[in-house]
Amino acid sequence: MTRYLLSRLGQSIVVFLIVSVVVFFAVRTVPQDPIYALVGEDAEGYTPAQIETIREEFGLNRPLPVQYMSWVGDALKGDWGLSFQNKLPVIDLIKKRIPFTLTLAVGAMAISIVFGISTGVIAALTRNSKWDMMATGSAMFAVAVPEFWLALMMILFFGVTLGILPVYGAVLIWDDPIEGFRLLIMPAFALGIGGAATLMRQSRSSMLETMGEDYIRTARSKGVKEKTVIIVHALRNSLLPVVTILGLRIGRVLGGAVVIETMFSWPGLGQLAVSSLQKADYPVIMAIVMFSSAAVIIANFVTDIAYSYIDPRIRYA
Amino acid sequence: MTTQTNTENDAAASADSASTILEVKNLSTQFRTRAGLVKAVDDVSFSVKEREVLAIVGESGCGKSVTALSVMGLIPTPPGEIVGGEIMFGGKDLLQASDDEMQEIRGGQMGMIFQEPMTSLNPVMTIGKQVAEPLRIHLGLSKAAARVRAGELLSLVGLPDPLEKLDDYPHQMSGGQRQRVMIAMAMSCEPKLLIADEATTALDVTVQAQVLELLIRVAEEFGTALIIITHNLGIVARYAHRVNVMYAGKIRESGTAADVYKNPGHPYTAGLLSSVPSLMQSTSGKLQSIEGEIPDLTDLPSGCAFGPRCPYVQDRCRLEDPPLENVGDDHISACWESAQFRGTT
Amino acid sequence: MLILSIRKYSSQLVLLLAGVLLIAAISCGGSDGDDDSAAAATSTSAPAATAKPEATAKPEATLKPGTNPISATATAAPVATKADVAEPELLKRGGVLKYGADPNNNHVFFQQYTPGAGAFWAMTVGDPLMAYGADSEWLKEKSMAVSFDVSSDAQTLTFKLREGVKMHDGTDYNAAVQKFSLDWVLDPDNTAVTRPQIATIDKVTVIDEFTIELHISRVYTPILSALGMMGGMPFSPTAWEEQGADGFKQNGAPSNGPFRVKEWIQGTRTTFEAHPDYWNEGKPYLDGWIWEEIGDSQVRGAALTTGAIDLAQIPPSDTDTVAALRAGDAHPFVNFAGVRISHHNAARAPFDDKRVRIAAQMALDRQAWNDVLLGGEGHTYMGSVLPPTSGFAFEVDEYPYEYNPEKARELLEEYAAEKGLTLPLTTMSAFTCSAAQAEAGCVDLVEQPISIVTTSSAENVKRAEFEAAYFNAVGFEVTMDLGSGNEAPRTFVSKDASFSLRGFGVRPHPSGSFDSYMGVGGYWNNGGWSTAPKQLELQAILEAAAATYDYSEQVQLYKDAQELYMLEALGGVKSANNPTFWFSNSNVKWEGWPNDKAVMFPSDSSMKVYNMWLDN
Ligand SMILES: Nc1ncnc2c1ncn2[C@@H]1O[C@H](COP(=O)(O)OP(=O)(O)O)[C@@H](O)[C@H]1O
Ligand SMILES: [Mg+2]
Repeated sequence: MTRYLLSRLGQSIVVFLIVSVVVFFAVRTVPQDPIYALVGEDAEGYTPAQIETIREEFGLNRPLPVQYMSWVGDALKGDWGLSFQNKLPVIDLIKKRIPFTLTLAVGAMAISIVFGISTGVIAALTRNSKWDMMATGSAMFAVAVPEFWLALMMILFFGVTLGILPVYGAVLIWDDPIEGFRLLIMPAFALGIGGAATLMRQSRSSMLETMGEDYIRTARSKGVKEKTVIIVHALRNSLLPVVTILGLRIGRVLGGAVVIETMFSWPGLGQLAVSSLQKADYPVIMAIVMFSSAAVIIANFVTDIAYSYIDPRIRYA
Repeated sequence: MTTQTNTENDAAASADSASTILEVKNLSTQFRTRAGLVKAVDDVSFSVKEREVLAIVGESGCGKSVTALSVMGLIPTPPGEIVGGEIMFGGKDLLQASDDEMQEIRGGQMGMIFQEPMTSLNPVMTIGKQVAEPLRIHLGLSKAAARVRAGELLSLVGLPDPLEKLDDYPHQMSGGQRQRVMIAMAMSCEPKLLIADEATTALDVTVQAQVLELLIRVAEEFGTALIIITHNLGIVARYAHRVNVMYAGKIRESGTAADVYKNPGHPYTAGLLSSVPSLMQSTSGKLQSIEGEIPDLTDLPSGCAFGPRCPYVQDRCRLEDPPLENVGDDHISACWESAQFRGTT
Repeated sequence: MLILSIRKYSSQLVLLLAGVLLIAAISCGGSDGDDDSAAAATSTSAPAATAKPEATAKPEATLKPGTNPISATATAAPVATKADVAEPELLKRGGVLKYGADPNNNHVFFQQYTPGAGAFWAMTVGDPLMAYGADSEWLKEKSMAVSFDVSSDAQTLTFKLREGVKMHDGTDYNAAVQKFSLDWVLDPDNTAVTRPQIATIDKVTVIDEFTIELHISRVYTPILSALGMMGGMPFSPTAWEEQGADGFKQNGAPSNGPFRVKEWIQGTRTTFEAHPDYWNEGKPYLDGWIWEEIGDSQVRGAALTTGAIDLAQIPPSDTDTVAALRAGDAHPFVNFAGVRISHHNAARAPFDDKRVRIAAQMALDRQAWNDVLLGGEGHTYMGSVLPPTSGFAFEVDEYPYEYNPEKARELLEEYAAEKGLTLPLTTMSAFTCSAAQAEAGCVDLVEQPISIVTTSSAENVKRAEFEAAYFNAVGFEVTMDLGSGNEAPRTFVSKDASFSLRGFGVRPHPSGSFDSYMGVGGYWNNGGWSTAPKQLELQAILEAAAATYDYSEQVQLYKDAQELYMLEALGGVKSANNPTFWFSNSNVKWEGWPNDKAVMFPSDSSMKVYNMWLDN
C-alpha cells in the first residue's frame, strides 16, 4: 500500500507540473492584456511608458520561462502571489470561494448519484418497460442539452413562471440551511443532471449485467428475497464500474461549475475563473487551475481507495 | 393437463407415494428469443423418491439445466416461461406457489449447485456471510449462531481452516474449494432435494471425484435426495439409482441406472454410452462420438428429433415422434425401432 | 423525477426562452399605465418640490468650466441646500434598492477601481472636489467646491470648500483631507488607477481649513472635469492610517458621499448604506443599495421580472431580454453610451489620399450597423463628441459622406487609375519616416495588407467582420487581425494596421476622448493613435481648446476640430453609439429622472441612485 501511495504521489507531481506548464503558457494566449484590463480598455490618460511601468511591476516584462520559474518557486513556498486586479493575496480570494464550489459540487454529485443510480437501477429492473424508456430517453436528453440552456430554462420556469425558487445567488448551507438549500437546488441540478444521465446509463447497463450473473441465481436459489437480492447482492457489484465514473465526474463537475456558477451568480471558483480570465488575472487563474487539478487528483485517489474497499478482489490482490 | 399423465409414473407414484418427494408432470418450458421460440423443455415427466439419486444426462443444450431451473422456479422471465405441467413437491404444485412460498422452499427444502464455481459465488461477500444467508432466512438463526453453523458446515465439507475461511472472499479460493462452499451453502438447511447441475464439470479431474464423493456423502448423511445433472455417464454408473436421458428438450429414456447402462433402450443412449470416458478421464470436452449436432430447438425436425443422427432411422421416424413406452421393468424409452435396435445390440 | 418533467416539458421549454418573460410581463401589465403616470407625475413635480441649488442660486448658472479664468469667482450659497432639504413629507422616502449587473467589483477602493461603466458605484460613495452632470454643467449638489478662482496664468486654481461635511468614519472633511487624498493619488508609488485623470496637478497646497490650491503643470482646462471623477474624491486620512490600501479594497475607503460601503463580498454583492451624517440632509432617499453581481443578462432580466432585483443592467446585444423588458412594464433608459470608431492609418497610402478616406466613410451603412449589431437600439451620429456632451456636441444636419457605396467605389477607381493600381486595394504602401519622425521613434515599414486590428472578443469580431464586408464591397480587401487584444491600438501606433476598432466611453468633457483618439496625447509620436498629417492642424486646435477657460471659445474650438476631423474624413468611420440599458421595476421612483434617450456618465448613474427611492 505504501508503495502504491508513493507511486501515486509521484504521478501526481508529474501531472501537476505538466498542468502548471501548459496552463501557464496557455493563459498567456488569452486575447486580453492584464494591464489594459486594469487601466480600462481605452487606457485613457495613460502613456505607453506608464503602461510599461505597470507591466514591470507585475513582472510581465520578463521572459516567460523566467516568469514561470519564479511562479513555481513562490508557489512551492506557499506564496500564490497577488491578484493583478486588486493586489490582494490570491490565496485569500480562493479560500473564500472554495466552500461555495464545494457545496455546489457536493450538491451536483449528490443529484448525479441519487437520480442517476436510482433511475438506472429502476430502469434495469424494469427493462424495456415504460419506466425504462422514460428514464433512458430522459438521460439521452439530459446528456445532449447544454448546461447553460438547462440552467436558463430552470431559472425561467421555476424562478419566473412558477416563482418557487430564487433565480440567483448563494448562501452557504451552514449559514442559513433553508435559504442555502433553496438556492442550491437549481444550480446543483443543472450541474448534476449531466452526471445523473451518465451514471444512469452506466448503472443501468451495469445492473443489467449483474442481474444476469451466476451468483444472483445462486442467491435466489438460497431463497433470498428479491429485494435483498437486488440491494445486497446486485447493487454493490453493479456499482463497481459506477464508482470509477464517479471519480472521473469530479473533473467534469468542476469544469461545469464555470458555466453554472456564472449563470446562477454562485460565488465559487468557476465564477472567479471566468472573471479572472476576462481580466487576464494570471496569478488567480493559475491558483484556481492548480487547486482544481489537486481536487481531481485527490478525487481519483479517493475513488481508487474506495474502489479497493468495496471490491475485495482488488484489496487482496 | 394433469389428467393425461404417464401411466407408469402414475403407477409408481401411487405405489410408493410416501417416498416420492418430487414429481414433475408434463413440464414444458419455452424461451422467446430473437431466433424464435425455443422449446427447451417439452412435456417432461419424472419423479424423485426420498434419498434417491437421479441422474439427468444428455448433450449440452438438451434442456437439463432448464429442467432443473424450472423445478427451482428460477427460469428468467422474460425470456423464459413455463407453459405447462405440474411440479409437485411436498404436496404442493410449485407452479402455483407464490413468490414467498417459493422463496421458502428454495434453499430450505430444495437446494441447487451450479456448474461454474468461479462465478456462482458473490465476489464482494465473505464466504461466511454467503453460507450463513440461508441459515438466517430459513432457520431464523441469529447472526452469531448462523456464523457458528456456517463454520461447522465448512468443516463438514472438508475445507481446511474453516473458521478462517469464513472471512475470506471467493477469489481467495480454488475452484474445488468454492464448490465445497456451494455444497455447504446448498446443504445448510438439510434440504429434501439437492440439484447438482454439472457441479463438477469445471473442476480438475482429481478434484471432481472428491467433490462428488463429498456430495454423495453429505446427501446420505442429511437424507437428501439428489438430482445429478451431467453428461458424464461414468458418474451415472457409479452413483445414480435412476437415469433420465434427455435429448432436444424431451426425456428419451428413463430407467434404473443398471438397466439403462446394461441395456439401453434408445440409440441415443447407446451413442452416449459408447463414448463414455472412464471416471478419471478428462471430460472437459463434449460427448462427441455421436455423429452430427443436436438440432436447432427453434426448428426441430419432424418426427423423432434424434432421427437425423440416428443410425437406425426409418421413414416412420421422420414422420412421427415416438412416445415413451415400456422397454422393460421400470424402464421406458421413446424409439419406434427400439425392439430392432436392442435386438442388434 | 424532475428529469422526467423536464423531458415532458421539453417542447414547451423551448418556447419558454422567448415567451416567459413576455408572458410574465403581460400578466402584470394591467397596472402599467397607472404606474407610468404616477412616475411621470413625480418626475415632473419633483424638480419644483426639491428645487436644485442651481435654480435658487441663479447667479451661478454661468459658472461653467468655460467661465473666463481671469474673472472666474464662483460662490454657491451653502444655505440654499439647507433650504432645499427642508421640504416636508415628500422626502420621507427609503428602501434598499437592488441593482443587478455583471460581476465587476474586484475590490471597493475607488482610487484603485478600473474606470468604466461599472465605476458608477464609486461615485455614490464620494462627492468629488468638482462634479459635472450630463449637460456638462457644474453639478454643485455633488461638488465639494462651493466656488473657485483661477489665477491669471491659468495654472493655479483656488477652491473654497464646503463646510460641515462629515466623512463616513465620522471625521471632518476639510482642505487637509482633500489634499491628503489628492497627494495620495498623485504619488506614483501608490499606482492609483485614477492618477492619470489628474496627473497635470503638480502641487496641492492647503491655504486654510476650507481653502485648497492646486497648481497644474500646464494650462489644461479639462482638469476641472477630471476632478469630477474618482480622482477628485476624498478619503479619510485617519482610516488610511488604520487600514491601508488592502483594508480599503475590502472595506471601502471612508469618503464623504451619500452612501458608504457596508459590505463587500467578492463575486456576490456589494452593499451600500446611506451615510447617516451626509452633509446634504434629506439625501439620499434610499436607505441603501446593493450591487448584486449576476453574470448573465438573461438571468438579470429574470431576476427583474420576479422582483428579486429592482434595477437591471442589460447590454443591447442581449436583444431578447431587451425586447421582453421593453414590452413589459420595466422602465428603460439608455445608460453610459459609447462610440465605436474605426481608425484608418492616414499616414500611409492609400489612406493618405482624402478620396480613399472618404470612400471608407461612404462604404459603411451606419443604419445597418445600428439595426444589425445593436438591435436598432443605438443611434447613428457623425460628430466626434457624443450628443449628450451637449455643450460640445457637433450636430450635422447633413453628413457629407453618407452611405453611398457607388460613389465610394468611384472614388477608389479614380484613385487606383491614377496610381496604376487595380481594385481591390489590398495593401498599404511602404512608409518612410521623416528625420524628425524617426527621432521620435518612428520605424520604417514595408508593404503589408490592409487589416482590421481588434480584440478577439465575440462582439468585436462580429463588428469587425460586419465592417470588413462593407469595405470589401466597395473595393478594399480587408483582412482580419484578431486576438491582439488590447495591444491592438499599440499595433496601430507602430503602423502595422490600417484599421483599428476601438470603443470609447463618453466623458463629461470632450477632452478625454479627443486626447485619446485624435488630440494632444493622441498623435502617434506622442504615443497616441492618430497619424494623419492634417492632424497636426487638429492638434493645434485642441491644444488651444485645452488652454482656455472661456467656455464659448472652447465650444467653438471643439466644433472646429470636429468639423476638420469630419470633412477631412480623418479619424475613420464613426459608427452608431453603443448604449447600455438600465431597466427598473415600477416600484422604483425618482426625481429628476432622465428621459428615455438620455445618455449617462458614471457620475450621472450615481446621480440616479442618489435621486431614487422605492415605493413599497
Ligand atoms: N435464458 C435463456 N434464454 C434463451 N434460451 C435459453 C435460456 N436458457 C436456456 N436456453 C435454451 O434452452 C435450451 C436448453 O438449455 P439448457 O437447459 O441450459 O441445456 P443443458 O442441457 O446443456 O443444460 C438451449 O437451446 C438454450 O439455448
Ligand atoms: Mg446445463
